[in-house]
Amino acid sequence: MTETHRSPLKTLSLRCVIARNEIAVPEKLKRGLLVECHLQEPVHEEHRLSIKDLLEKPQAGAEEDELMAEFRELFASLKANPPTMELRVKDGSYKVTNYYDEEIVLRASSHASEDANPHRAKQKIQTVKSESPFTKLYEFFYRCIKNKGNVKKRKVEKIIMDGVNLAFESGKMYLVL
Amino acid sequence: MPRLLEYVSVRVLVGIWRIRAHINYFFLSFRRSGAPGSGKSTLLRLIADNLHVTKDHVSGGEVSLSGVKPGGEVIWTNCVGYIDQIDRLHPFLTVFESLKFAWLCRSGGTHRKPFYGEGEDVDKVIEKMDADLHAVHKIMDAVGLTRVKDTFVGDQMAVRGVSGGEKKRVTVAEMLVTGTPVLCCDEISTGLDAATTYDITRLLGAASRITKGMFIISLLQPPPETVANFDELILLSDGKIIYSGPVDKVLDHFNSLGYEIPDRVDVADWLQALPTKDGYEYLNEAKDKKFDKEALLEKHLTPEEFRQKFNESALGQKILERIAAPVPKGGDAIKAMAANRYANSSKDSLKLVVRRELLLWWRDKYQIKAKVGQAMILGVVIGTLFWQVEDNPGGIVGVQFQSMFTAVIGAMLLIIKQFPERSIFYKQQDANFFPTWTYVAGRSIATIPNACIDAIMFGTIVYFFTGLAVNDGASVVNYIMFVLMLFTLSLSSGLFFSVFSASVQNITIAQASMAVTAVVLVLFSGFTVQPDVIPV
Repeated sequence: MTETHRSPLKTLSLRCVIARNEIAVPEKLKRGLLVECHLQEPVHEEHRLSIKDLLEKPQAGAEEDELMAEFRELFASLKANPPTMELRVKDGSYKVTNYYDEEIVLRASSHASEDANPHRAKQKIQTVKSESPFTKLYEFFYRCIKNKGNVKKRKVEKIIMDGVNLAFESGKMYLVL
Repeated sequence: MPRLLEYVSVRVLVGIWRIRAHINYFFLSFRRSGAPGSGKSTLLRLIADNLHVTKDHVSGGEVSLSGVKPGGEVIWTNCVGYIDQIDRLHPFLTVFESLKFAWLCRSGGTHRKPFYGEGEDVDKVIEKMDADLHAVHKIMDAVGLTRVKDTFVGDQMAVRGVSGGEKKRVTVAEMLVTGTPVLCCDEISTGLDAATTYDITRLLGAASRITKGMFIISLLQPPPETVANFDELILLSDGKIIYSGPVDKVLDHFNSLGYEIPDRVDVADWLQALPTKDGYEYLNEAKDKKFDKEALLEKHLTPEEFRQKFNESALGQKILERIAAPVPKGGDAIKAMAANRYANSSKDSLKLVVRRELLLWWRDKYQIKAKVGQAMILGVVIGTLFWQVEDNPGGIVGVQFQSMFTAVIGAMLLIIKQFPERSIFYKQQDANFFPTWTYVAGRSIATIPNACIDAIMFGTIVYFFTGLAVNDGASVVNYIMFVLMLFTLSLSSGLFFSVFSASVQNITIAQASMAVTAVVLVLFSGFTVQPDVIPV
């Protein structure tokens, strides 16, 4: 059943709670709780507009308002003939290369099973300590000793977008989700 | 499904009465929405040729508008507009002034477009539209800004202005008046209520049909009635296209893959949750309460599999066929529309920018009062410090040094104000509002009033307090020379320090750089270190 139908049982329960805790309730509110009214006629399931109906309903353009009607009229008076265009995206891609400390890469890959996007969340957060020159110097020598002279950070490539093929037409509005 | 809280006692607060109701309930842990990080902004930026590209940030593929590609003979940003998620607006301009400035910059002051017809009647209509600023007023009407057209845009510090939602509408309207045939809007609903988002998308939809424009809009969790305003839907997950096609076919597509939308779930929420690991709950088999989770997880498609399924579908095949087809006509019209970067001549752009910068200076009354106060107080302090030193040559040099130092400090303080305006400049520069030199020149000209305050108020007090006026042979010419010297000094140090606001990364570095520069100026001014000991 619908939530808009105020249940007498719920009202009664609330009144019991109020009475049990000896709470002073203003007269106006009490009267409101006593009136068991229907705020709105319940909507039956068969009359409820489904999401599919909503998406398949005629587009909003069919019921253009005054402003749009005026706009259309103006375009006619300007004898406007806007060109028809087509926008194409072919094999669109975007790749980002990040450089991490070995330790962070290892930590990120150990979380990979529970997070599909580990490098995004597990990036090193900058702190006063981590950004201090002493820490950086310490990390440099630490890497140097640990990696036997190789001080380079681990390169991690992240594909942000890949293989995007799209075609857009004139006179249409596109929603990107 | 893990639960965040289960069977908890909740205290209910009703007004000032506390009801200790032992309500037992449980809350499901929040589900992960698939939207953030899916690649929406990247796609829009790719289309708008606005991606951050370096050796570590590499973009690939090809974008073309009727065969015309970015970087060629057209100015791509005049073909494809881009609205990002941040509102970058001048707080001291009213809503109307902001839109009017944008329109004047991008249209050259006329509504005429290459695709309008010829004839006297058309000319008359355009003339009337130009006189009425038709585009500005109609767009303000459309996005519901007419009520606040004379209100400052405002910000959190300097001046109170329109609300956050209205600010977002100004951002959208500012790009709409520029009239690019393709407009990419990145999460324009942030800060807007659902009703306004619905209204704006409905109007954009109607406008796209009439003007044959293309609006590509990304939204976060739009309600179903807003989704229904769109013609087509593009669904991204992990940077992969998992659906692109008519809005009314999206449910059928995913139904064919074995997924079904539950009752009372928003379609956008459902679509964004589908490719996540929680998406298995929407498989048809999950309706059975005793489902085997492992089996469903096995059956649930990954983003890559969703992409493959889409590419194999009729809709996916249609897109690939269209991309492979010969380029449609329309390239010449685009070239005609976007051949020139700026709509105005350099002189007109300069006029527009100077007028705006002077208006911004005049509107910032607090800054003017502070400047006047600073000039007067420092004038009195320095004037009394060097009180009537007309007979002391060292004292006169001291007066000159202190005057120079005051002008330098004043200029340093004004630079801080220029930092927040940088992002606005970048936005307007990306949208080809005006050439960069006109902005630099306009801003420099707008510093003249401040230099005048420094020279006249500070200079007059110092000149008469320190006794320069009663020197032997002193005349009004000496006074004018002293004021002119201060004016030049104030103006030139202001312009010199603006180099830092334009070139350094942030305000902290700028302050440090300016302090170092000031020390160098002090050292070589000939007062702190005598000229004869300065190494040459």
